[in-house]
Amino acid sequence: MFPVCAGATIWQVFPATNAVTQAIAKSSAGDTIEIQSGTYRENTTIDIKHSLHIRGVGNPVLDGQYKGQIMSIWASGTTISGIHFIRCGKSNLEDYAAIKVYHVNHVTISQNTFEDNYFCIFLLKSDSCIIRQNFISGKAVFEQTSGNGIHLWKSQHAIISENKIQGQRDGIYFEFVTNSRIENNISAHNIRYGLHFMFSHRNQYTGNRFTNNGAGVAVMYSNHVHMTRNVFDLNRGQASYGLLLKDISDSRINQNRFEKNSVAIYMEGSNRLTIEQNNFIRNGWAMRIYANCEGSKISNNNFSGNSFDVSTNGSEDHNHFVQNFWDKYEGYDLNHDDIGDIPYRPVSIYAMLMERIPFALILYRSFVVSIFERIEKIMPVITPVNLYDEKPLMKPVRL
Amino acid sequence: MVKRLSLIGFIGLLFLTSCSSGPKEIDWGKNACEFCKMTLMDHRFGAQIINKHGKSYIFDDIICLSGFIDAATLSSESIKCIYLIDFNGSGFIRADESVIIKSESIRSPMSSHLASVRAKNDFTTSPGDNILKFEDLFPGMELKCQ
Repeated sequence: MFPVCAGATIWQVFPATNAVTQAIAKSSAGDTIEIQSGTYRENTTIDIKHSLHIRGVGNPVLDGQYKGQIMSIWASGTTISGIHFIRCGKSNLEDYAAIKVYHVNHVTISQNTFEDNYFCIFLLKSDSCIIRQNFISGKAVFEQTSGNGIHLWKSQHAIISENKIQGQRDGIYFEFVTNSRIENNISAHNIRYGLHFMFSHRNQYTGNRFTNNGAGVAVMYSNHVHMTRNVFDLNRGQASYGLLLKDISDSRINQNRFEKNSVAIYMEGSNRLTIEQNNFIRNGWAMRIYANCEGSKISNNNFSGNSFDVSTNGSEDHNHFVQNFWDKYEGYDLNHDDIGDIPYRPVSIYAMLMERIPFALILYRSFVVSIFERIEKIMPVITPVNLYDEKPLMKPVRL
Repeated sequence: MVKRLSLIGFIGLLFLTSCSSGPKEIDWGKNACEFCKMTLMDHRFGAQIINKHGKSYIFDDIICLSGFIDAATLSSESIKCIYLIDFNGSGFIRADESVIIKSESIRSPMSSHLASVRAKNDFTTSPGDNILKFEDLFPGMELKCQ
């Protein structure tokens, strides 16, 4: 290795034992370390104690040999790019990660590749960090020895964009994270959730795709979350959801597409949500709303091809459905104002029956059920009295 | 005749399975917590209630178990037994025979910092950690485990 230019020095690193650690030891704050292509095996975790720009040239591989953490960042302003991280240690007691950032700010991690690691990028109490254009691929297949792709704990003002994450436990996990943005990522084939929020307020996620994850996306115990233009699809399984909302309040869910999920949106203990202009297409249930949800407005959405549009476990409803398009609506529009003349009741008696007796699924599309539905439509007895769309649209909303 | 016998056998089997006691095995990565709906993944944490009819309720964290009991979803008379997962990986322990530890170093799924072990010595505590018994968390609750 040798320094190339004066001022902020650029150190070139070539494959040798502990080459990266030695280069870092010689460098000073603000320097650039260029790691040339090849495979690097270090004896210990690479500790970055002063701010550095670490750049891979020709996709160099940092091999953790399953021995603990690969890189720890303790200096603000550090940037890491173009490196291929493989095989960090796996442990039940330590959350080993390919890159872990400790209590510092303005760290940028971009255009790296992660393969077969436990946790990949792990931020602890680090603010204003950027995680961009990384490719993360885990080997987790139904086993507990898998960590999360991008894991943030007690951090704020983070930007996570254009990453692709697959085969981890949770694709992206936020715990006590605020004022952050998650944009244009693809999170697929993760064992548990594509995205998982816990106690994380005032965040927004936009333009992401969450597909084929074990249980979908979970947003829990948070408020003021904005979810816009995301795609939730193919999240299938018994306890699987497109979007699971548990104790969420004052949030917006706009212009998303929910397609072919077991349950597109499952809501429990969630209040004052605005759910507008979403497409619900061919899901088992478009929405399952627990009776403890209040004050949400569900309007201008398209519901088409779902087995059940809405189901609930209570006899009353405290949410407001208005001006949605329902493909199962059978009313007329005699005054041609594009709004159906009679209200639409999206909860079918069979959906209510299913809430109480799940085994009733066996009767789906049977003659008995269609008789029930007809009778209930004329004389509502079991379905919630006040759950209806008073102005159902005759044509789908253009989205 | 054979058909009828096999039918009787099948119905008998149904009855047998519904009567089994003791904790149910957790299907990790598949079963969801009854309270918070999260999928159970971490083998060091978990809890289970068996009601008097033998139905089991699974939880990912002791805090969800206590949340479920506080919400009175299940009356305390109808609870037959509660089991907690051993932090050290030996499976379920009867809740009234376990030691519950609250420590900042424990990163449980719901951030409750709670875990359970068989005996006090099974966990190396650090200053500030609390050692609790089942009665501290659920005062007045009597289990009828067999």
